[in-house]
Amino acid sequence: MQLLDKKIRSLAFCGVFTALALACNLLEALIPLQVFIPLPGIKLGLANVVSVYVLYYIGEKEAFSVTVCRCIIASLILGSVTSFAFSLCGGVLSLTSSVLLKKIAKSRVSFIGVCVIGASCHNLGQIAVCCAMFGTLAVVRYLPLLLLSSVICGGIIGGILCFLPDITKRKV
Amino acid sequence: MGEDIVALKIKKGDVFAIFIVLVLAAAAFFIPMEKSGDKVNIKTDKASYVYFLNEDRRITLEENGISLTVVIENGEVYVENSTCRDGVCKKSSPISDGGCIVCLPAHVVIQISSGGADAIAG
Repeated sequence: MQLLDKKIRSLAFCGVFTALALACNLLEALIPLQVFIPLPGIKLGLANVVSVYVLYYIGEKEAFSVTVCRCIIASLILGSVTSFAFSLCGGVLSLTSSVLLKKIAKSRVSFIGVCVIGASCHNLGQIAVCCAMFGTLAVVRYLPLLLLSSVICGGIIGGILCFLPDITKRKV
Repeated sequence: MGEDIVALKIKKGDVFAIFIVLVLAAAAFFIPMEKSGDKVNIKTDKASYVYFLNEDRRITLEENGISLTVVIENGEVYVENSTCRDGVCKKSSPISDGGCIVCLPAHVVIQISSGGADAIAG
């Protein structure tokens, strides 16, 4: 009974967090960050707050399913098949790096480090997809600026995560 | 589990992580890229076109259901108009030396190159 209860709880949380991640994605699409930083494809990565939150407070499997579901639904709403490949590759790579960091150095790295590395992996993944898809290395030129932006954006996202309380263990 | 991290505490590992990313960024900055050239290379799904940078012209492309207008003017290239949804290509600043403009939905990459004369298409 206890196990079933836990399963139902985790399923419900996955649904709620997927919806929240989607909301973050849509909210982000409204913020014209490119007006301030003229770099294509730059964004804050608010949805990563949800991914890392689920990873730390619920579990790895749940974090992956939330991220993949978010990518699929967000592409259906916002983008195209191409943007789906980009967002899925970036999201999964970023989450994989976070999982590894959590496993290897949980006590030594806080959310800020996890998010900075996650954001860089996201950008590296997208550049890699872009290179593969277009067969050109020209986009690598964006890499320094994208990595620099991932330090700033990842830092902000990690900072937000530090202040979020763990609601998943609360009694209903 | 949560209580020990609900506070803005920067740990050693964070500094290390940021340092690594910054070093990577610096390293990527020095990746030898093709130097600026005098030709404009437009790559699409179907073909690759090369134009002279110093010849003003207006190119209209129909790619993946998206209509793109690329303008070469005064040694600069920019996307004047595009029917794609996000319009990142329109917002990209004009390129003149080695940069590139990418339109993802249309699968079009515009870059400056110094490709040989045999590559000239139109």
